[in-house]
Amino acid sequence: MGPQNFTFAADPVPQSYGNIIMKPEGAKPVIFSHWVHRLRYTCRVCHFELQINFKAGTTGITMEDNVEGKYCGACHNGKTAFGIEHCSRCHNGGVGPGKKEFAKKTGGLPPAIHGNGIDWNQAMEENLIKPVDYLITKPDKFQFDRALTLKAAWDYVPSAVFPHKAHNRWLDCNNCHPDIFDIKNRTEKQNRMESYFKGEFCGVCHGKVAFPLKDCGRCHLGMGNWR
Amino acid sequence: MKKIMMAAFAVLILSGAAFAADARFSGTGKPGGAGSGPEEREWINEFNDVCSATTASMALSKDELNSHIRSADALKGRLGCLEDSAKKVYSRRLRMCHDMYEFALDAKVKEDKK
Ligand code: HEC
Ligand code: HEC
Ligand code: HEC
Ligand code: HEC
Ligand code: HEC
Ligand code: HEC
Repeated sequence: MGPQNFTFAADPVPQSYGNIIMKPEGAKPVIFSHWVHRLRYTCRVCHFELQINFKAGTTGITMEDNVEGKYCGACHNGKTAFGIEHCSRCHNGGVGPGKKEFAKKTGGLPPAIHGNGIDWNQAMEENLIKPVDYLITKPDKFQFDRALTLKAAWDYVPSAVFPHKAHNRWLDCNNCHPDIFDIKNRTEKQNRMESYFKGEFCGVCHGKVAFPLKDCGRCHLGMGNWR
Repeated sequence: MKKIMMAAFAVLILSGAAFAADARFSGTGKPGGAGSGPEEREWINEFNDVCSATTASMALSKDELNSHIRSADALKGRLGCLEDSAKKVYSRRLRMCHDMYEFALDAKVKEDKK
């Protein structure tokens, strides 16, 4: 399969990329916007400390958990963010903040072509945003910056890069190791775009919350972008 | 609509009870559920010690990694007594830390062989 075979849906509007609509039984749908939250928190906070899964609808969040101070309730307690009693701010039918609010909160951040239209990595590099990376215990300093060049399966494709640094800013090592990337159980599937389009490996995040797979050139340095 | 109102009521009562009975939830905004007795506080400290070192795992020696793996194993049994919400969250986090240390240990062994 070559790149000429890739097909993509049109981009969603930037303010809805990464939005998740949860549909609990017995209550109106809940909105969760990644961009609203990642301006203030790294992925590590929710996806490691608070144990929220990297797949929508699988964590099994209940209101009881929230009231107990787990998941949303770890912050939505009336101190860190609006409290659990403001039912309709979450149960609003699944509508995220609009274009105006998005522009107000993200104006001035470096642009990207796809996704939220924001180069989140650069925004962090330039200290334009300073999301906190823990609620509970300060992690030891990240000590692994190794940038890997992942060997290309096809001669005509420039090899993809994997910079640990750009990821460790946002994630804990154990968000990826060994659940997503285990050097002991490596298979050919791990080198295939096809797997990523199915939401595996790099596609766990890229295409869902991190910049989408259309942005070829950010991984395959030297390749153009799909528009 | 009636169903939602009833749910609202139930949740408010539930939260009211939780807030009144346990000041943790209205205080720090940190995830609770660890209990506040001295014994429980002790395990949460140990837990935090073990799980905050994953980010440095490749900088740790094999001995240190092995020691963290043993601590994680030892803690596992002590999570059994937690209430459901806390058990769900802490068991999974502990498993992730444990597995990361094993991953780092494997990577180091592999690098040594090169
Ligand atoms: C404030 C908490 C929070 C932060 C911060 C956060 N997430 Fe999430 N994330 C969630 C929640 C909640 C879900 C939905 C989980 C569920 O439904 O079980 C989710 C789901 C996901 C999913 C699954 C999406 C899908 O469509 O299946 C991915 C991938 C993801 N997050 C990646 C990230 C990445 C990458 C970051 C950091 C850039 C991040 N998240 C930051 C809370 C957060
Ligand atoms: C780590 C802390 C944290 C967690 C966990 C968290 N939030 Fe938030 N949330 C915040 C903060 C802080 C704000 C206010 C952001 C602002 O105004 O800039 C916010 C704002 C919001 C908003 C209003 C903005 C919008 O998107 O319309 C909604 C809705 C929301 N959160 C839903 C949720 C839901 C649902 C969950 C759980 C699935 C959740 N949050 C988990 C901290 C958190
Ligand atoms: C998130 C990073 C990322 C993005 C974005 C990305 N790729 Fe890849 N791609 C990889 C990785 C990793 C591999 C496997 C290692 C390698 O081949 O260098 C790969 C492999 C490939 C391969 C060879 C294997 C196969 O599946 O056929 C082709 C062709 C390819 N990519 C084309 C593209 C094109 C075209 C785009 C844009 C539409 C793109 N890639 C976007 C990371 C990415
Ligand atoms: C976003 C996911 C992600 C995160 C977060 C992450 N890694 Fe990796 N790591 C990878 C990928 C992808 C590879 C390449 C895997 C392969 O080639 O099979 C890798 C490879 C490795 C390797 C093998 C290196 C080599 O040269 O072969 C080690 C060791 C490693 N990572 C340690 C860490 C540590 C320590 C952290 C935290 C400080 C970390 N990783 C964070 C994705 C990640
Ligand atoms: C667990 C989530 C996750 C996984 C898995 C993941 N990434 Fe990322 N990646 C991110 C986040 C978050 C960023 C920050 C930028 C953003 O959010 O758009 C990022 C940034 C990058 C960047 C920096 C691009 C730039 O322009 O600075 C590259 C390159 C990249 N990823 C490649 C990969 C490749 C290749 C893989 C698979 C081998 C991969 N990523 C797997 C979450 C992930
Ligand atoms: C911070 C965001 C947030 C607030 C505020 C909130 N909820 Fe929820 N609620 C959620 C999430 C997330 C779920 C689980 C969604 C899913 O199915 O994945 C949920 C689920 C529910 C459910 C389904 C059954 C259950 O117990 O899980 C009911 C009923 C409910 N909420 C009622 C309420 C009521 C009533 C209020 C106000 C007292 C409220 N919620 C306030 C986020 C919120």
